[in-house]
Amino acid sequence: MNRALLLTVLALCGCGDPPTAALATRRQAICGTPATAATRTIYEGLKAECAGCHQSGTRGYFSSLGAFQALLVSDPRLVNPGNPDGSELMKLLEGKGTGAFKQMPIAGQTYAMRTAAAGASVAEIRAWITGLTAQARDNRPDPLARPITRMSAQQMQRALYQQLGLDHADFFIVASEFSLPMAETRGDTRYPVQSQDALPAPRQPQASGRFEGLGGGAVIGQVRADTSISPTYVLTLQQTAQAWCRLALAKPGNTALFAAGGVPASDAASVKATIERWSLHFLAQPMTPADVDALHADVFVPLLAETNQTNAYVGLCSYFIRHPLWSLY
Amino acid sequence: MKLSRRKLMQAALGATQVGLLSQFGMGRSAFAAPLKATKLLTIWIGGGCHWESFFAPFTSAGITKFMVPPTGGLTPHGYKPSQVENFDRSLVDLDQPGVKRKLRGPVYWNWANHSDAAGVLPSSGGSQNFRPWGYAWADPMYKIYERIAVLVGADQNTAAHTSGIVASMCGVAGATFRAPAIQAVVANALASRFPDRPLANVSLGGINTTSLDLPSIAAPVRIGSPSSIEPTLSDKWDSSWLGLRARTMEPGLKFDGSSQSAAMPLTRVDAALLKATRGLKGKSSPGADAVLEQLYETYKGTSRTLARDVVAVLGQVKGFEHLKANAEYPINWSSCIGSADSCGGSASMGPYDLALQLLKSNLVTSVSMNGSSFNNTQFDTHSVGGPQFGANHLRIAFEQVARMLIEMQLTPGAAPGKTLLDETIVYVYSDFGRTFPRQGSDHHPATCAILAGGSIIGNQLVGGYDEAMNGSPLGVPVPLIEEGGQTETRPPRSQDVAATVINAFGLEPGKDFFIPGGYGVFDGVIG
Repeated sequence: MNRALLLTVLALCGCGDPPTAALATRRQAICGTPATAATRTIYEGLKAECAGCHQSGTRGYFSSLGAFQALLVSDPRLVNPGNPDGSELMKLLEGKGTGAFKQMPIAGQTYAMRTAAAGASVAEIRAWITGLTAQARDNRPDPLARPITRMSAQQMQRALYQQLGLDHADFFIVASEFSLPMAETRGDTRYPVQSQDALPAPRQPQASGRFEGLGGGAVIGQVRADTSISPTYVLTLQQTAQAWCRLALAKPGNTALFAAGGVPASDAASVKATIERWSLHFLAQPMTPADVDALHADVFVPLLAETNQTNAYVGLCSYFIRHPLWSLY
Repeated sequence: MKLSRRKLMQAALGATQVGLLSQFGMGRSAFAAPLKATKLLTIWIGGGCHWESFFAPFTSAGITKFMVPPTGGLTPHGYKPSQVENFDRSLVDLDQPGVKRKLRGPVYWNWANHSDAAGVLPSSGGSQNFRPWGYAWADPMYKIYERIAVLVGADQNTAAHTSGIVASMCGVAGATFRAPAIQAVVANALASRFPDRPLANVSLGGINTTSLDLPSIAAPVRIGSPSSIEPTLSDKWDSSWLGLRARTMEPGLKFDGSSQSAAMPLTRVDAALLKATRGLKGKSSPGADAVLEQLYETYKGTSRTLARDVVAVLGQVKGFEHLKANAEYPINWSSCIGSADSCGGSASMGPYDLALQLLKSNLVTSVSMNGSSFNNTQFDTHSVGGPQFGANHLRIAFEQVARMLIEMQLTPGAAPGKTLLDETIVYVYSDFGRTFPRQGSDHHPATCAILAGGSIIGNQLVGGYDEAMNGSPLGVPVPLIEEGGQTETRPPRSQDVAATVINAFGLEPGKDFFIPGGYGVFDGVIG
């Protein structure tokens, strides 16, 4: 395909569009050259030798056939279609690399020397590169990729301590067991959160269980950190946010939520001013006046009517902590 | 790139590519085939087991070759061919050709007095004493063996703990999940059939039953301990909920703002949060919207859970309640290693009682738990005494598994004439196997799986080990129904075990689910 025709086709495919245009449609045309059956054969053949190191990370060529095609086959720095001797991949396999590494695998015999029984022989790889035509590479970001994640349990604990004016002493008292420093909870109704790995370690398992409910890992407990959005995470954050907001509002001298401390008046102007301030405090962005009015009307006013102003402020405070913009980044 | 399921399987999905599942409708719970079971209980026996110490998958020559002779006295392990019996007490034929045998194993209990924990075991030649634990598997009063199939010799493709557990849970070994956990797949598939189950995928311990990009209904709800239920799944505690409990029925809206049929009971804060989350749609990329939608749906799901007051429901459901009518099977029972070298109670073997409550409550589709011997004793034993330690503790751990199955068999199911065990698939797995006793007690990639309940064709030991090999061989070929429908005979892999568990619910391979790397279903295991 000549260059002009290729550019025309690419344009028709929408491959030259800026990402935002494609994002608006939720889908974007597939522009990269697809992996052929021959490529798949080579991928499978190389995989046994290469996947151990190249399964993930910035050089995760073998995490999938798609990754192999997009990151390696379509990268002219590594594979020069039609020219095996001009391909760095071939040079690396034969111990003639020109970059930081002379060969792959890095140590021992070269691939060419060690793969008599491998799925892809050097001759087959050479033939495959010789038979490759120009490979188009799609450099646009995948609009379906998830660009945001949520805070870890540790980040949440730190952020909440800071934003609510709470600290370790609000949840734990100093204790020791066999001369080891322990964190004795002041009661589970305060919803303490502490990693098993923390020093001093939480003495009661509920604190570490809650930390793990928020997705926290623990080396000592062989618990893997998990930042997925699970019901456990949502429930734990909800319960903890409500309890901690209540603690913060009741804490003497705590100026984190209100400059003067204590629970302020419940008139509309004071509450709306609080909403504006808490939006900046928790979400780091201002709310529109309409949104302030709506939140006041939807949350504070009914809670005030149903219970009292402390509970209404607890509801507002927990709203901001559970807001997607607080936990997602 | 044009993608097909086959290509995806051959390529094996990376974690970041699992989102591609949705292109095939795999993200939806559109499963429509007749159900073969409605609940799943998975029990992880941690550390990697000496399966061959409890079951006897070898021929008589294999027993001599791979097992140590009977020894140990009051802490017996090892056995000779003549100690192996079929659990149904039919005549055992260790050298019967083929890969399907009746459920069998070395018998250490005294058939005439199965609480005997001291008498000399004659079949051992006097070198071992009777031990009662494990008898529940063969108790003719309940014949629970008729509901159990053991799949032997599946290659986990790894000998690392986490990777092996992940392989048992999703079919594909790895440090992270490259396919959703079986528990999540089943929870998702059955969600549309049981929309009133607020806790579709409950994890009572162990590695999270990861759902990856499946809908939020399939995401795991982790209950670390019974004491964590109330402050997590209920609005009972004033320190968190005072003044915030009131709910109003609000229109059920999807993330895109369109209407759903059922109204939802929402707190004031919940309603405002859902509104704010809907308002973020379209502000960034579709990928960001997918995260927000997942959060949105989880908000809705958890709000329903709290409104349902699952704690009150659970409070009305008993765990073990039927088996205790037999005085030989009290709810709380003790066991010991040796004379009384170490002992412990059944309550320390895992949250069986809570798992039973959950299964009986109809609040859940899948319950995942960690089972062990007493005092949470796990099975990662590398020492010289590992086979002896493992064999003795495994009998105790498996005794509790069998008692659980019997209790489920005695419990009426939701459908008339059915039992809880009829409605539930029970899947017992470990990280992997262990090298056979003559080779020590190291990690061994070949593992076994126990399937019970539902329409599992019981009293089967399916597969074996390649006894022509030395050391600790892998599994022998077994007939497997491949994704394409053809039957092939090849050594089983972790994918095949996972596929068989999922297929036991009626989900069709390649249609209702798939597992990266290819898979088949054990032939003749599901009725």
